[in-house]
Amino acid sequence: MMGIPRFSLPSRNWMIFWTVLASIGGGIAYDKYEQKQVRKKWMAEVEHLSKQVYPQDRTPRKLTIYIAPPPDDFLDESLRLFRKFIKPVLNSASLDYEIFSESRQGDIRQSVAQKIRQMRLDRLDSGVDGVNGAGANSVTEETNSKTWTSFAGGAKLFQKSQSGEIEDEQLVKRSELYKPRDVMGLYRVFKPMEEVKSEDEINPEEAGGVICIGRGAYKEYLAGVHEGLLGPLVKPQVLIEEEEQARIAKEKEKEERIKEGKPAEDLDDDDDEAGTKKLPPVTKSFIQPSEYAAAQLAPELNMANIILNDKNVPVVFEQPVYVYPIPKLTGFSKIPQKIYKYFTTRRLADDFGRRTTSIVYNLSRPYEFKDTLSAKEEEAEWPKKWVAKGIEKNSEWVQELEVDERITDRMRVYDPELLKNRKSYDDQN
Amino acid sequence: MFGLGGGAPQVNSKQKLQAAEAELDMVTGMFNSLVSQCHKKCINTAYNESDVTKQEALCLDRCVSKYFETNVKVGENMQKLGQSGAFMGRQ
Repeated sequence: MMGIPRFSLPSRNWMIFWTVLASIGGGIAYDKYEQKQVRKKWMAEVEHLSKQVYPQDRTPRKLTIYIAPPPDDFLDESLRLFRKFIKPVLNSASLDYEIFSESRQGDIRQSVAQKIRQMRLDRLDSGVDGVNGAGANSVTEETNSKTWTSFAGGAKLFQKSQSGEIEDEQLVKRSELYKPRDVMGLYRVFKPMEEVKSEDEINPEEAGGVICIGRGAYKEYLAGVHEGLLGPLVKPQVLIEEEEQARIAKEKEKEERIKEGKPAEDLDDDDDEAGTKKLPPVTKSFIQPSEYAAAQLAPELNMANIILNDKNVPVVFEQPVYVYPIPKLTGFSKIPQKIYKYFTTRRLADDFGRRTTSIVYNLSRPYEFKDTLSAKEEEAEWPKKWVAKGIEKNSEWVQELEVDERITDRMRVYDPELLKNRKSYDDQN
Repeated sequence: MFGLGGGAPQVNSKQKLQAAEAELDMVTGMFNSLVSQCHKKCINTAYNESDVTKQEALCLDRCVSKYFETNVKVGENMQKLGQSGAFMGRQ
């Protein structure tokens, strides 16, 4: 054949196939591309914060991030949202953060409450006459003085060994004698840094921030704060008895199984195959929401001013809080919606970027009643079977979130709406 | 902290000195690799600024603390292995 090649369209079926393939593929590719652009936009919005020259004796503001998995799903799902849409912006703004993730219900609540209780106990101990606090200080001073500039203890140690005799001496941990920085020799040349201060310390009004990812994490965080501040300092007798009963019941069951001649292993879930101990079960809340009103608000703490920890940073419940809803749809009838959401993930990226930027800029306002309901829209999408099971098991997630005004009056929340008032934002958009 | 454990209760001064030298070598080696790794990771080699920026400062902070933590963890594990005699196929 010569001349212009004969040109014809493929058959009808092939046409349909290629069109469908191209439109779906194009849709996905376009959305992925747009997501990247949106991410870049929000990262550029806050980038100027990380470009500033920074003194060496400062550490940036630190956020606390609580991540909970969506109901009936893995933690990875929430972590992925965090990694894709929140973390890039935080990193771009050079904010430090600490992540607490949970894989069982109640973990966040327990750890928050335990921390607050511990703080209250410490205050109770040291608050009387400050004896304990002074004692702790003198110990740290002692360790601090063992640097190159005053390495008396170490010198004595070496002299002893030079005398040549083999003596039966007391062995002490090396870390108690000196720190790595003492032996590196660097501080013979440079002066050790006197004091590193965090930005949170310098500016307690704008310190830190708490981010919860998922309505469940938010509920648990608030419940934990209430439990820590309003609850008793020691485990109530009711809970101890309850645990004891559960333990006895379990042992009985085990004995019965052995009597029947069945292997006891499948019941005994204290140890898994690797021989490692399973985590201890989450302790129940020391206080029920119905008892909030009658409880006394942490008498150990002076609630008149901002409560600082030993590093002069406002403690976690004094920092503003924010919650991201996890957009998750379940169920057969939701499949079309799911597909639509998949092809428009860029909107989610933009939304999360805006929310994160408001956190970066520290745009907060006092807590209002509506904040008790924030991210509540997520609850409508929680799987019905899961909720039913939760109600049956008395799970904390499915219960209404109860708050006490004495605590919420002190709290602040981040609000992306305030971003509109910012000049730099307006200039760009 | 850096391997070597408590050692046997009866050691003469020469052994002690050797141990101390070995440890100093180890610490210096670790420090050098830490500096080079964290520099490579965090510092922008265009050197637009004479001082570190906030981003670099935060990155260095995290890098160093991560490095130390890992080092301690690995050291502890090696010590355990060494004590149990399972290291290097010595069962």
